[in-house]
Amino acid sequence: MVKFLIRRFVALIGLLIAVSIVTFGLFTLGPSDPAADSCGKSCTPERIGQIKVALGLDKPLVTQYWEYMKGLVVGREMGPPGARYHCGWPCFGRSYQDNQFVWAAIKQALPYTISLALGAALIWLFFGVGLGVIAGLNKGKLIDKVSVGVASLGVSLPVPLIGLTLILLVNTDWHWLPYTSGQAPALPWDSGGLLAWFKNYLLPWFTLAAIFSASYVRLTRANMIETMGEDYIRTATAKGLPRRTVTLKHGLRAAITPIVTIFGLDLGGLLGGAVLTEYIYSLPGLGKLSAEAVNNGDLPKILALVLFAAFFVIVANIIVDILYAVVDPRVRLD
Amino acid sequence: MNRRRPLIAAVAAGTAIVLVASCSSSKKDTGASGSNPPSTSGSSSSSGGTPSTGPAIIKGGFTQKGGTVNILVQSNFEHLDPAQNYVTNSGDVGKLIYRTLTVFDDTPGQAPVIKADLAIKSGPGDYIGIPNKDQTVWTYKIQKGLKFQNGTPITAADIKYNIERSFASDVYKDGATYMADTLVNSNNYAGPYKDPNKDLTSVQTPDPYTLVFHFTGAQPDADMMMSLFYTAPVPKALDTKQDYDFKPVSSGPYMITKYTPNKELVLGRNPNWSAATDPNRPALPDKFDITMGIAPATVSQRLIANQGTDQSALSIDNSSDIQPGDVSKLKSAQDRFVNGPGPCVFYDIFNENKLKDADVRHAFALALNRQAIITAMNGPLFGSIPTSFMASNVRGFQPANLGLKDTGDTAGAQALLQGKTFPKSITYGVSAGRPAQKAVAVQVQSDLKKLGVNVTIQSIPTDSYYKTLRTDPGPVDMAMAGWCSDWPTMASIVPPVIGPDSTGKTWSTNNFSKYFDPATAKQITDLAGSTEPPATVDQKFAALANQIQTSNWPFVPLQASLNPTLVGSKIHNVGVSSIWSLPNLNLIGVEQ
Repeated sequence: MVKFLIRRFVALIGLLIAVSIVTFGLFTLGPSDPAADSCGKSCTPERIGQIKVALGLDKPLVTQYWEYMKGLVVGREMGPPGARYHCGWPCFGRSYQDNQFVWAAIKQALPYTISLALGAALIWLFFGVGLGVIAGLNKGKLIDKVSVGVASLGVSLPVPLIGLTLILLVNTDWHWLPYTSGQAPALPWDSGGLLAWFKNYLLPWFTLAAIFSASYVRLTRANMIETMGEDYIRTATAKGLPRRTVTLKHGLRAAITPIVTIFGLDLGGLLGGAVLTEYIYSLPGLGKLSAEAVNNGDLPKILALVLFAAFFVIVANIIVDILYAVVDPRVRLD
Repeated sequence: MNRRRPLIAAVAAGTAIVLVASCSSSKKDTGASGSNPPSTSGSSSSSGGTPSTGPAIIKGGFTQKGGTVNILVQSNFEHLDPAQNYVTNSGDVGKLIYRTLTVFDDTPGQAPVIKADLAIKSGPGDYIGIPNKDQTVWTYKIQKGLKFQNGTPITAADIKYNIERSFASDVYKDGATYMADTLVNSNNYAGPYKDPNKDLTSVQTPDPYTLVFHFTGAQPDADMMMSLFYTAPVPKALDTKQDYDFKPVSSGPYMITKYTPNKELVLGRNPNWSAATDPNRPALPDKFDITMGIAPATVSQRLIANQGTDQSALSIDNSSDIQPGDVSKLKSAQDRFVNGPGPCVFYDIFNENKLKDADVRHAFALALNRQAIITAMNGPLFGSIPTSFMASNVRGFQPANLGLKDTGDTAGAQALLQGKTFPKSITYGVSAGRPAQKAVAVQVQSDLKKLGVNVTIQSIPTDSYYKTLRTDPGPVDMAMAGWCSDWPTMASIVPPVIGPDSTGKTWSTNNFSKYFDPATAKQITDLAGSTEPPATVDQKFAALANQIQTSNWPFVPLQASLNPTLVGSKIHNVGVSSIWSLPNLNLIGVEQ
């Protein structure tokens, strides 16, 4: 297990470096010129040159990249002579758009995304796996068709449609829940408490869960049907084990292995930001930060957020591998 | 202001406001956000019915102090540092926090008037500053007894210091650059950080309450130029450089009490601001609570619903408070709705280095169905058909005799093209991220098809849109551009839009048509620096600009921006500033 973790950790670092090189190259070698874009109406070559100094773009690309990576690990000095300052690690630089330290913006946004992703994940796991099991055990029956149908409907509706409709009905017309906003509690222990947090995230959770539940229903259903037809299930049933034990201990455990893989990747991806859901519900998480950064051509934020998303996906993969060993005794982490 | 990048620009297509130049920000949409060339964006949907524009001011005459105004905006403010604040929405907030030498009285429905703010009116006639004979040196006296939020006195040195900061392009990349563009010897000064021992000699402070500006040429608009935020005082001892964006020291009626970027900005009263020294700011509410990160559709929905604390709310995103798709719902909110013209006008430019015949350009202009183009740019609620490339709030405005029909004049265009050689295929540039521009391009394509001209729409990355238009001869024959002036005089519009650059030998940076004629270039430059009475200059400027427009046809005006604004039912004194395209927050009040 330790060897496995060390190997994967080294791979993680290598992958992040590769992602950083590609991303850095894409943005710095692309047609966009942040200095010219910021230059305003009285733009002269001299002013563009000064802005390049202000943004640190006057140095060779390799130097820029090295300083960026160094900043991530040990911090770095930034700013022109006379206005130097230290950016502590992990230093992702400052936003071109609003001058905020990117790491501060990410730290501020992360709790919103975690709240959203974990809450939604619980819901889609509960309904997705639950309905999938029920459908799988009742193949061909009405409840099977209804479960699959409802799940398919959820995934067929785009987030903006679900989100705006729910806001219009639940918030605006029925006044059942407050509007979410930038001031929404990010975590249960924020001011406002658990109830305020719950109320603010309820609609976003269900909106996001609706999208993801369908694939879990279908996957769980298919796996359950396949697993419940296996010989060892028949043997377990023949031994006289209770149906509940056969279904949950022998059937579901085997059927859920691929679900763990999908779930890990889905959750890892979501922690990088659920762009549409965060945008529709005005949650200032990583997804909304990403959308604004892209809209504004804010390269430091884009670069940091891409690295962050890659980090989550890679870590999620490692966790999935570990969970495999827990869920499936045949898997060994050597 | 840029995007109003400056402050003004915006527009049509998308966002817009304030001053214009490069734009980014904010207001309603048309595309620009605040600056001179505004960004041309905007959603592409057209509005449904058009509600009446309502009164010029919503529930005016309100004088009750106290209460909290809630402001809903979709994203963080770019800059609150006055050296960089040049976009309309952050500018609207900036006016609450800091004062400037002069300030515009932009009472809706009336012509904007420049007034003294930190300064004392000392000049002759309507002038606030004291000009020398050739108007190259301007002296401003400032009020005594003014204080920053920490109680320290405000002096001329604090104003000069922020002007010096605006020169530090190595530290600050945004902000208006008029001072650096016009002051004597400014090329030799790089701000207060690079060489702290160097002085900006073209701004002198002979005593703590006097500022003397030395310009390279006559500056008849100096009073208006002084209204931009580079004249807001900044105490040197509290200058945190790049971090000043997040905690600017207040010289105005409100100060920052809480600021979490991307989430919330709260302004409370500045105890050291004296109302007696500031007649321009009634400053009625006790508090402004600004929530960031709210999707435009949600802002619109909440303002229409008008529930709870949203009854005390408004938005200062030009693109947020009313979405084109929500227009029909405004009928139930007529008493909370106001609309008014802003400083932006959008036009189709003809690239004169490619379309070289003025008659051909004129014919193409005749063929355009500008009424359909207004619809393409979100509908009549967001803009009207202009009579000039200048906004009608410009001092001394005179409409040009364009002779265009709103729905196009194909027959007239065909008659003009008789016997002419003209291209049967042209390219029309659109900004890739601006759906409204694409919609306009499709309309142009349809209109010119009737003349036998095939229009190819060429998408240009939004980030490099204006940069591409500036290239010579450039890739496109036509494109949409616009201008939102930082102050409403022709000198702030005509020279950049159809004038020469500083050498006088070629077209200026934002003259996207690339119109250049040595004789008219000299006339424009001379008028911009003329010391004749303003009315005389205005008359000559308007005549020259209109003559160029109707004889040369460097562009065809398409849309004069309007700025529909919806507020909560407890908000009073709301009108649309023709300078900022937004409600002046210093004037509004709120029921408690």
